[in-house]
Amino acid sequence: MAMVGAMAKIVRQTDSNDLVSRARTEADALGRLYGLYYERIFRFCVLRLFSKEAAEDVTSTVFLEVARRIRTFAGRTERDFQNWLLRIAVNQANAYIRKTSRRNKLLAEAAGSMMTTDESTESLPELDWPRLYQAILKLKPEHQTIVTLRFFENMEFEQIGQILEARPATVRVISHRILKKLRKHLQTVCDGEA
Amino acid sequence: MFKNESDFKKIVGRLNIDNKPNPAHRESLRRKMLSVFNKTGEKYGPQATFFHTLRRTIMKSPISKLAAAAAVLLVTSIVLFYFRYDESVAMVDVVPKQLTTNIATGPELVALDIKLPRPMFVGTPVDTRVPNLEEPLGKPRPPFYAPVGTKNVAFEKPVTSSDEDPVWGEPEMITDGDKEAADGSYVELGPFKQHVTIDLEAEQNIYAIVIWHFHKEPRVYYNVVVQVASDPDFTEDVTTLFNNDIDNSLGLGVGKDMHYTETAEGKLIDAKGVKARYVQLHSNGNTSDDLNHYIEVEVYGKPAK
Repeated sequence: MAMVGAMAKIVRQTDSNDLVSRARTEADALGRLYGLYYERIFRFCVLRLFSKEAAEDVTSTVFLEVARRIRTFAGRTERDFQNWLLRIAVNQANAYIRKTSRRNKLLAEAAGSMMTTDESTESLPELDWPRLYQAILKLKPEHQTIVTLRFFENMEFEQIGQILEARPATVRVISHRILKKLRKHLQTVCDGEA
Repeated sequence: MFKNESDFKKIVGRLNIDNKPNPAHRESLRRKMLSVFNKTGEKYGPQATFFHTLRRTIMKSPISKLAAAAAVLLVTSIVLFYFRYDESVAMVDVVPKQLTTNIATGPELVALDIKLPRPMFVGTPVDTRVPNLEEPLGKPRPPFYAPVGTKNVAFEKPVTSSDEDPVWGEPEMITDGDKEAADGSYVELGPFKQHVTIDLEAEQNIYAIVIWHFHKEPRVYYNVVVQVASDPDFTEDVTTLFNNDIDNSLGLGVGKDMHYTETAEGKLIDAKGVKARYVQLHSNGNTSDDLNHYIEVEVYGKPAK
């Protein structure tokens, strides 16, 4: 039974790899890859950009870039494609955030959608997504990416390393340090409201 | 708040994030993407198809793979032959020239007394993975001559770093006089591009800068750039003394200097008496990891006249 399962897995893997190979020249295969990955990239963009509108813009840029470059894409497996796609998404999202005006807009949007806290309670406000996003946005764009990939996408250090072209050990060290910084930033965000 | 990684993951897991895509956007993007794909096919089709077919043909059989590998080896050997020939001529030519120009500047020159740390490995194996790598001299570095009274003006001078929170050690260790490769002697800065700035606290005529990044093992640091300036922001009178950033990764300009392997001798850079107060050193990871290390930096100079 286990052998049948393993065989089925190998067949699926081969099919996916074949799809990546065909997508270089066949629109139909590229359309299928798009179907498989659209939601994942959109979700990643929402996490990085908070706003669904901005996420749609960046997701569009990512897939149009894929359409332009897929013919010369050198990878062979689905994993190669996935890493390549995420690398494009990471770069596009960071490029979007680097513009101060856009960053300020995202911050304002996050602040605007924070849940109001009961002023009678003296405890710290409960951690919700807008507050956490505000704290994440205070990190460097590259560090924001690591937070998203590691803690929201639950990726292993190895795959994050492949996407960011860094060694897994480096990602591990930096992720540990980011968490320390994030804790400080969160404290500031929450203190600012108290 | 949260204590550790798993705590943070639990918080993230409880968040309520609206990330449902809009089907209309999904569909319209699909159409746009396929239209771009088809247009790109018309534009680059024949070229891309040619390389794709070539690659497929080569990879199809072991014989064609071997033939392609043999062709690559042949071309590489030819290139290496010419490259080595040129370089051997250059080494013989350049080393005495540097010394002679240095000596010829005046009779009051003396050899700098650079105290070296204990070597941690023997010889300097060449790391062939690094492009534009300097070959080891194979003997101790020749003495460097500077005007009488030149000394290490960076000793115990303040150092700042682009990494506010080094992984290991403190920036002050860069000018504390300890050049040993032991674990407590270096500062480890975060990955990718990082820099440190030494404030000499007064304008100096700088004759040489010696850098020890890390000499516990032979490794090569990428994008090493050394600049001096009169102001801490490096906007006035900036002089680049060394730059091996061959692809301009740091955005400070394309460098023509060679990569070098770290040794206990450190890297000596001829500063030619440039006048400056601040010394900034950049790097971008190394052949062992993406982190940046400094054991010691010495700046040999005299108060500017």
